Amino acid sequence: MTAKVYYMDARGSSPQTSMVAKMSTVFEAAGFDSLIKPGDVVAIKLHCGEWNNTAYLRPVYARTLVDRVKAAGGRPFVCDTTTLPYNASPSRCTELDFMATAERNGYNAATLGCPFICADGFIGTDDYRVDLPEGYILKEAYIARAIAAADVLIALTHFKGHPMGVIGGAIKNLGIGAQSKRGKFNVHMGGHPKYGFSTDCVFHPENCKGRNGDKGWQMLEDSCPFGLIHVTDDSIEWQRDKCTSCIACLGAMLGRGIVELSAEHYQATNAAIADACLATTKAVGPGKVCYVNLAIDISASCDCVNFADVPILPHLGVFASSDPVAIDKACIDKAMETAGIQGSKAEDMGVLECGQRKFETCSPFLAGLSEETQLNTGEIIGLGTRKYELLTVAEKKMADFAFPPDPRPVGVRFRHIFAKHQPFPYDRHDGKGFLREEEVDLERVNTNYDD
Amino acid sequence: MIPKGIENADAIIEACRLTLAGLDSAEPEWKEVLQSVISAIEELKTKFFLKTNLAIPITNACRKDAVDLQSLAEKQDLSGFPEALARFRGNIEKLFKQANMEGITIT
Repeated sequence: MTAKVYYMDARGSSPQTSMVAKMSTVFEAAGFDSLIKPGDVVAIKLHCGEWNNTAYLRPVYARTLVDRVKAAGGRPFVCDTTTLPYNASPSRCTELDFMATAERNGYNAATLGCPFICADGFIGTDDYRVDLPEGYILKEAYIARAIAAADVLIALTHFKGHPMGVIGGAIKNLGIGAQSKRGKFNVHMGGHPKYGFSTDCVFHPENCKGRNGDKGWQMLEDSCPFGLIHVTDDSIEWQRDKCTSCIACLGAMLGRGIVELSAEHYQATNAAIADACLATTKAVGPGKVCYVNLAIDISASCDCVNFADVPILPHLGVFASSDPVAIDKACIDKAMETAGIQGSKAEDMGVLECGQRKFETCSPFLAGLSEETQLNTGEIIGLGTRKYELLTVAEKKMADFAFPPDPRPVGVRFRHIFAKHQPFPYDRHDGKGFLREEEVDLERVNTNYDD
Repeated sequence: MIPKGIENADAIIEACRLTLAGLDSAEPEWKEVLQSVISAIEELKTKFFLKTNLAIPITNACRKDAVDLQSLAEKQDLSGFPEALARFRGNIEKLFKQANMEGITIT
């Protein structure tokens, strides 16, 4: 079976070729408006960006889909979920933190035209359990309640790299982003006897100098939100059997050489991401989930890191599909055939040329991870197919993207206003309006270069 | 295949040793710097950072600097040595700062 992936490139030269217009155009071409019945509650799931990240999707993309959903008679909300603690200073770990970060990043009811909500509740435990016997590694998943309760789900994804997932695409947007905090512990192999962070890593307590030799010992001890780390006078104790794989301690542990990660923990998590994505589609319902990928501002790391580096690739375009595996595969293929950006990590890592795998070289924390693990797993479990037909969509008419509040010609809109509130001072300087030189030497300022 | 951090570390140490061998009558301060870099990199090799992809860009830069120094020493062209050594020290400082892995996010 071959999936259809609708595509427009990222070049723009007119209102109808702007990225928001193209996103709207591929959404329509893919037939997604027909998923929405009058009265349907429609969840638009995106990544609202970490504190100090600047590569996440601008809110206007979600707003454009919100307007489409309303036009189709649906009742939209835009959402994201709480995170694992996952670093020393997480900014989206509870709903309070999450909302503060989202608002700072521009996500609120005023910009979106509908509610922006934390889909898994105050502490990330508001969820819906899904049985997953077909899962590759997960046999159950915990989906954020608001997403599981929606009639229709639009996965609006910023396609980019990811330190753990290698790619952050449609599969990960739902496979991590639609899971509650409890669900994220599950996907991250928390408590897993083989692939959990604590069971899979190598522990080097001998590298900890203890309270007597490490001035930062208190921060190290306090890095675990479950209180499982105890720094002794000359070393460290860690209750590994209770570790949840929240990985909040990693920043403190890795720099001191106290733990060493292996690729297996990451590989297992990446397979589980596809499982959890499938669970999300099961929770919402067959044929009720659609995917839009914006491959723009393609950073090596994810929107979940607290910075944004020079993009490794130029904007690739916008994709739409009913198949999350196919849409991510189409993005990866487009990235493969495109040259990397000089001065970015693609140059640092020697993958500037077309035909080189940009993501698995530049994005993961460890070598040995594949940018196609999520896709391979997804195909095995029936989430989707890697085989796709890329359908380039034609641009629509300019009039379709006119300023909606008042699409009349400018003369009709302003003639009577300007007649009453004249903005040009015709009554000054003999009708010329302003005091200016009659003529200047333009050549002098137009051709003066240092080189 | 792009060299990994640990391979770069070995190459940096080797280049520093060869540079030292070519600096018979040079400034003692240069030799002290190179000796201290060798010791520090040997210590760094025991840390996990060098096994991560994070280490690759900065160790690439340090390796290039070290090879430049080695080349200058071998040619006995020491007029450009202070500038090259300063660049090397700057990148080595960056390497050790990054090796602390402060604020690292990997999920």
